[in-house]
Amino acid sequence: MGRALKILIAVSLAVTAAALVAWRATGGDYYTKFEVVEQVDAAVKQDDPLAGTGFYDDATQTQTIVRPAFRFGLLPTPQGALDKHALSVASLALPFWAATAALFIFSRLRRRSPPPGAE
Amino acid sequence: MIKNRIAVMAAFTFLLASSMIWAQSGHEAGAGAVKPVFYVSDPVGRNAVTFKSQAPLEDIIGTTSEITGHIMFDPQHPNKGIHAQFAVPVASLKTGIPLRDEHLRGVDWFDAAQHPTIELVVDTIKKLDTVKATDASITFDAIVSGEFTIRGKKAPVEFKARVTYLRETEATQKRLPGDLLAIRAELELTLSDFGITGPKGMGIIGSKVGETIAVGVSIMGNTAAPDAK
Repeated sequence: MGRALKILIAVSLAVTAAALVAWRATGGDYYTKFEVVEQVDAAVKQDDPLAGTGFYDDATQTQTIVRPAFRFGLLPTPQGALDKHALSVASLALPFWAATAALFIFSRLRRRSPPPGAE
Repeated sequence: MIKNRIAVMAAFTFLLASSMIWAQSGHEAGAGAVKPVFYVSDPVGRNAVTFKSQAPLEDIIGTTSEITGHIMFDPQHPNKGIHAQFAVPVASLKTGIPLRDEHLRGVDWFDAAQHPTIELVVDTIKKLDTVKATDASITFDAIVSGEFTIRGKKAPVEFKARVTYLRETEATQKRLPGDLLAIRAELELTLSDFGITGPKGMGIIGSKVGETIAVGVSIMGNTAAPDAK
């Protein structure tokens, strides 16, 4: 295996590992997001006019909120070429692996070709 | 003969007076004679409709605060029935991924171009129990039924709701003017009932989107008409 190919494989592994670490560190979501929709339990406020009326089952209420939060996903969800949602594990790692595969195929083809003057 | 004429005129006058009194009492046609009217339109966006899809590959939560409508319900005489109508713009649904929100509006899902709103009409109370009553509030647990409309298709629904009526006080005025009616409810919808199958041949429903969607509603209406707020 040529030196260039070895370097490219090492770089591809490093980029993939870093992308997967970032993916796990930001929540491990399927898709890249810059805001999340989630349900949270919040304490019923004392000045809530519904407190004490029986509307809530207990002292907490479930709320659905939309908040800014970055989630580096496995897959991108771009709406255009320059969309920040294009960032993802796949969109970062695949180009390196594609280059690795191309260089591997090229080096194999060059090895099979007879050297000049061998015929 | 004169007596007959007097009797006819008296009956006519009685009918005319009755209809005038009935009209002035504010009964609205098609509502089963219920009042008052609570308007659902919170300019601050505190109302919430949440939908949850659970599937083997992915769980999705979406929400919108842009629900509008009205509820005709008399908390003092709940046996008079209910008539409520709500609408949610499809374009207001948010799942946290703009591309997914765009897909939801597409032809394969809610088809917002042809059907820009999702609508719910509630017209029957099947069961009503009082949970708690105070000087200023009454809370009911109810089972109600009506009709959901998505993509122009209607399907019957029946679900539980907790309803609280609040008489106007200083505390309630901080939230909204007028008397208040708070409702929270949960129901399930089956996508196929509305002709929603997702993109053909991709098998998304069942793998990435649940066949049934859990919908949660938490809204508050008030007796002050929206332009009076």
